[in-house]
Order: sequence, then C-alpha cells, then structure tokens
Amino acid sequence: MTAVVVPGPRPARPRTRILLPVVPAVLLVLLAMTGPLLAAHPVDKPVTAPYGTAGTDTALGGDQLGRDVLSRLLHGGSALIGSALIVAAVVTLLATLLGCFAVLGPRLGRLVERAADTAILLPPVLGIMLLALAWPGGGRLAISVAAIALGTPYAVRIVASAAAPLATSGFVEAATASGERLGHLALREILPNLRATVLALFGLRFVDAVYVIAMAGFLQLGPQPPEADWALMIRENGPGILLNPWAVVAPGLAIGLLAISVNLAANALAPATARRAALR
Amino acid sequence: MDWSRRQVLWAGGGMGAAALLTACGGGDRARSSGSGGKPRKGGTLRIGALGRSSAITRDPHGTQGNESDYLVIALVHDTLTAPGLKDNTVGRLASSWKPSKDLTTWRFTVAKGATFHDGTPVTADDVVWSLRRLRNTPAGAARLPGIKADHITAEGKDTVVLVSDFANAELPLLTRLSTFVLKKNTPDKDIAEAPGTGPFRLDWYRGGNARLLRNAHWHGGPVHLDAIEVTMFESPQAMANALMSGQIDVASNAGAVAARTAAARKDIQVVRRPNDMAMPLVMRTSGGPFADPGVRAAMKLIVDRKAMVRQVLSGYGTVANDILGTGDPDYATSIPQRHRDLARARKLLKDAGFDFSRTYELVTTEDVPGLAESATLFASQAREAGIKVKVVKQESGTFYQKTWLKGDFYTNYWGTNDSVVFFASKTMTTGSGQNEADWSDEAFDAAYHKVLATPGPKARTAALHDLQQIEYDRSGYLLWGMADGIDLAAPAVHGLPQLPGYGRVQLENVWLAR
Repeated sequence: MTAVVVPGPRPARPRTRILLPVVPAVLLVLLAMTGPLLAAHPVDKPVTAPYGTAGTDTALGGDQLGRDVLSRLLHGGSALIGSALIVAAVVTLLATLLGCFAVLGPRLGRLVERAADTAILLPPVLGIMLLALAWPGGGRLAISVAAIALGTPYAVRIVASAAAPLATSGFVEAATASGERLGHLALREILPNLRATVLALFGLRFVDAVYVIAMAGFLQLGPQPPEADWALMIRENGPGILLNPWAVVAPGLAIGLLAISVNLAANALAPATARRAALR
Repeated sequence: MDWSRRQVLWAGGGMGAAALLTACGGGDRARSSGSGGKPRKGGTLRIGALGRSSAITRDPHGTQGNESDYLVIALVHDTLTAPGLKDNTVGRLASSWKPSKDLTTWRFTVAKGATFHDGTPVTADDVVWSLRRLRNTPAGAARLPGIKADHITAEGKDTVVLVSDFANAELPLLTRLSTFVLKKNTPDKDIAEAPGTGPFRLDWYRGGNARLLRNAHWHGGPVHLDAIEVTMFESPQAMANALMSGQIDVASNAGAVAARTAAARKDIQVVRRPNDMAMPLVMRTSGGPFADPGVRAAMKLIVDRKAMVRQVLSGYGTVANDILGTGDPDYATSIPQRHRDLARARKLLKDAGFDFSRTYELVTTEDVPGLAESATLFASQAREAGIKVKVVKQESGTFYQKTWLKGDFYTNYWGTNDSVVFFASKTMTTGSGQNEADWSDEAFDAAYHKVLATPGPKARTAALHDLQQIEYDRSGYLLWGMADGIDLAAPAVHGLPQLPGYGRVQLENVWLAR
C-alpha cells in the first residue's frame, strides 16, 4: 500500500505478526473506556484512610483523601485517551492538508516551513504554560488546543517532506499539464499516496499527545481535582508515596503502558520506512 | 503549615513574625518535648522551615511571607510580650505592664538588663521608635489596633506609654504579635543586619538560609545552643526527606502525611502540637451567593466535620465549631457543636432562594499540606446536598493577589491560632485590615468593643461569649477543624516547644544530646 513512497523491498508480514502487537493497545483502550462500569467504589467518596494500604476492599489502597485508587484508575483513563485521540486526529488532519498544499505552492510552502521551524523551537512545556495562563479555567480544552497548536508544525514538516518527491513525480506533472486545479492535485493525486505516512504519523501523534496531556495534568494545568486523571493522581499522591505506593505507581504504570502499547500498535500497522520518515 | 506565613506577610499582620519571636517568648517556658536529662550546652541545631525565595524579607516590621524568615527574625529580635503556656500572655522584652483605670493608657516596663547584641542597653526610646515604625507600615493599624503613632511615648528610661483610642483590656495580648524592637533610628538599609535583643544574633543570611549564634547576654535566661542553622524548604515533602536523610535535625510543620511516614522509623520524634492551625473556608458576606446569612448557615451544616478531620488531616486534628481562636482559654465550649444536617441545610437554602443550577467555584492553593484536599472533600460533600462546587487551584502568588480578601468562596489558613479577640480584631471587625469575608456586623463590633472595655475576668468571659455566639451564627467563616502542628525531629533534639501556633519557635530552650 505504500509502493509509491517506498519502492524498496518489503518482507511480507504474516497477519498475526501485525495483530499481536495491536492487541494490548486495543485491550487497554477498551478497559479504560469501560472502566467506570467496572469500578467498585464511587470516584469521589472516601472509603478508607488517607493513603490506606491495599486491602480486600480496596485492591490498590486509598489516595490522599482515602478514595479507592483502583476505582479512580478505572475512571481516569477515558478522558486522557479521548483527548489524546482527538488531538492526534486533528493534528494529523491539519498536517496532512497543509503538507499536501505546501509542496505544490512554493509561497505557501515557504510560509509553512518558516512557521513550523519557529514553532518547533518553542519548548512544548513553555507553550502549554503560556496558553494555560492566558486561558485560566480552560482545563482540558486549553491543553488540547495547546497540544494541537504545538504538534501540528512538526507534523506538517513530516507530511511535506514525504509529499515533496510526489509533487515532482510524473503523474502529478501530467495532471498539472492537463490543467487540474491545486485542490485536485493535493487531495486526489498526492494525498492517496501518503496513506502509510499518515497512519504512522497518527500513531506517533497519539503517543505524543498522551505525553503532552499527561505532563500538563501533572503540572496541574489541565484537569482539576477532584477529577480522576491519571497524571493528576501521580501529582496529588506524591507526598504519600511511602504510605501507599500504589496511589502513584498504578497511574504511572497505566500511562506508561498506554504509550508503549499504542506505539507498538502503530509500529506494527505502519510500514517501517514510512515510520522512519515520520520519526526523522 | 507554615503557619500563617502568607497571611502574615500579606496581611501585613505581622502576626507571623510576631509569632515567631513571641514564640521565643521568655517568660514562661514551653514544656519540652524530650523529657528527662539535664539540658546540655553547646551544639548547632539545623532546622528546616518552609519558605519561597520569591517572598524573602528581612524587615521585622514588614510583611513576612516565609516561615523561615519569621523564624530568623523572631530569634534575633524580641517582642514586648509572648504567648505562654500557663498564661496566655507572658513578658518578653517588657517585664511588666499596667493599665490605667479606664483601660486606655498602658505602661510597659522594659525588662532589666535587656541589651542589644552590640552591648548597648535597651531604652524606652528604642521601643517607642520601633513601635512607631511598626504603626506606620501599611498594616500598622491592624497590628496596633486603636493606637496612633503619636500616642506611643516614652516615660523615663524604661517605661513605654501606649494610649488607645478606646478602652482595650487586651492590649498586652495584641503586642505579642509584631512588636519587634530595634535600635532607635536604624536606617532602612541597615535593617537586615541590625542588632536585636533576642536569644540569638545573626551570623549570616543568604537567600533564605541563615546561621545564628547564641547571645550569651540574653536577658531572658541561659540559652543552650551554640548556634542555629535555618534552611529554607519550598515543600514540606522535601523538608521531611531532608530530615530522614539526616541533613537537618528538625523539620518544622511537616504535616500529617510526613508524620505518618516517619512513624515507621523509630529514630524520628514526632512532636504534635494540638490546636495549631485553623483551616477555614471563607464565604464573602458583602455580596455574591453567600451574602445571605441563611446560605452561610446552610454551608456550615453541609460539611461533615469528622470526615474532614479524618480524611484531610489523617486524624491529626480536632473538629471545630466555626469560631476562630480555639486556643483561647475563654473559648466558648458551651455553644453547641454544629453537626451535619443536610435536611435543614436544604430548607435554609430553599428559603434563601439559593440557585442550585449554578456551579460555585471554591478557590484553593497548595500552601500547606491538606489545604487543597479540604476543598476537594468539601466539594464532594456539597454535591450530596445538591450544590455543585468546582475546586479551582491557584498558584499561591496568584491566590494572594487575586483571591485572598476578594474572592466569594476560598480556603484559608491561620497558623497563628490565637485568642478569639486576636481573630476578631484582625479579621472580623468592620474595616479590619484582613477582613477576609468582608464582614460587617454592628452587633459584633459592639460586642468586640465591650470585650475590650471589660476589665474583670468574669464579666469579660461573658462578653466574649456573646462575641463568639454572633461569630458562630453569622460570620463568613466555616471552620470545620483545627490541624495539629507536627514537627519532626532527630532523637538528639530535646526541649522543642510544644505550644501551638507561633508559640512553637521558642528555640532558646532546645538542647542537643550529642
């Protein structure tokens, strides 16, 4: 499916070798989405001592207010995964469109390139803090907007560099010669040949969005208590790590597992060369 | 809990500072933590205290935001009076005081043998100059209530006369606060290094950290330690870690979670000072959704106080009854304890036409352990009564600029848990400098002035009871509980102060068994 982009030889991959790495990600996402149904305790009611140790009733002990860590863990994933998905989808879409048009128009191309270079230089933490300060009370929405604004320039560069060889290829030249408009060239001629890059980009953007949103949560720029958010849980329960380590370790593991498993899945789904291009 | 570091500074109440110093209070000594053994002379005590480098201050009459700064100032300078264990107020730089019959004129006598660190004796002129300087600070009116700068005068070498605009039986108590005494005419640029009269003198001060040396000639009695090194920590957690790894000997105000963590280690003493810190919720009384007294009463009925103490303070505290000043010997225990009553709360809210569809913001900070947690738990308790409360966490600088004294609904803390009158004069009388709930109640003001004008202990107790009843009924404070002050210390440290609030900085009695 990526023959145009990568004309190199590609070993045929058996279906199981593609599916196997995808399974953990799918399971984890499913678990996080259905988690609230499985939680044994309400998310905001104390059920044990603050930082109470794990017992029969609370499998992972209590958090800083004595709320059930496991229940909060089950509640806390869906919002993180949901916003990461949205961010990844929007960034990929924006980047794909901008990238396709950029390689066709030299003026737009230069503009995109300059803007992207400038934006890439801005450290994401700084950008997020700036936006959070300028938009107090923005919460999750503010963080998602920041993640989109900060992730798009980098992604545009990737799409543009993957699309650049296509723009000078014979079939695009032929289409140009036959008088096709810019929109047709970008969306009908170039875009279909970028599927692999876009898929790889989406996977990587998702992982990146998880990191950015989790980091913002840890810095308390996004979701506010009493929300059950994995990153927020790590931050809030830090002082009691010696009393009930699970209150910190469990959400930490959850974020780590999510990032690793989705990365694995994206790895398996996208052709290796397209991935290499996206990682560049 | 850096006690009221914030308050103090911001408020300019200077209470904090005062606290410290007062804490060092001479007169009657605090019980010591480590019993047994004769005090040994010598050694350097390394103590950790909370503070932020952005809030560093060296002026004893300024607004001190950092507990670490109070500590240093309080060890170097003396206040006129100090909190005591048996008597609420004991002498420190003033050895005695006497009111006129009408309670408006007070004569304080400077302690015999009191000298500055450079050897010059303390005169009434020095005290007058210092008090006037204090009075002329922006928060001066709150620090010396009812006393104009011109009404502070010297009489002879060792008597200072304060004339109040109204009868005030509580004046000695109010001078426990920030009445740090410096040498007359100390220029502002030399304030940081100015000699004080306290049990320790400054060796050096760098960016919040300081080293202090024993003042062998202190008028208050022998001082055991050779030196004290104060280290500033930004977070209670970092401070507790430093103690556990042996970098410091005492972590002051480390909080309940640190205490429980330390409990597993036999080599760390946990000093619990009950009744140390008030953590009220403040409701604006002059406008906004809580202006209706019925709504405020309902909020006070919604909170589950026992659960708050158990979950927020890990049980290291006690339930309170919406009256600030639980450390007062005349605290009204006869006023019935409020309990959770959702049905009555709902009825009150309905009668007041309370808007249940709105989401109310409760603003909080993470300045002291448990503060943000209390907001979170309250929000979840309020939801059970059908009120939507959203917790908004602010960085502490933002909080004190934007929310403190101005917000409709926010958390607050007072580490200087003092008398009822102290809180009334600083935070509740009409127009007081730190009127956090913007409360103005004629009956309360009248009761306050009546308390101040009443000399006899029995009549005073009755008047004070009336004051507390009004506060209980209508004020903007929802005081659900009192947190214990929790200090952690290495086993060699003895004689740590056990008084709550600012009484706990009396480090001149500390000695090291090593």
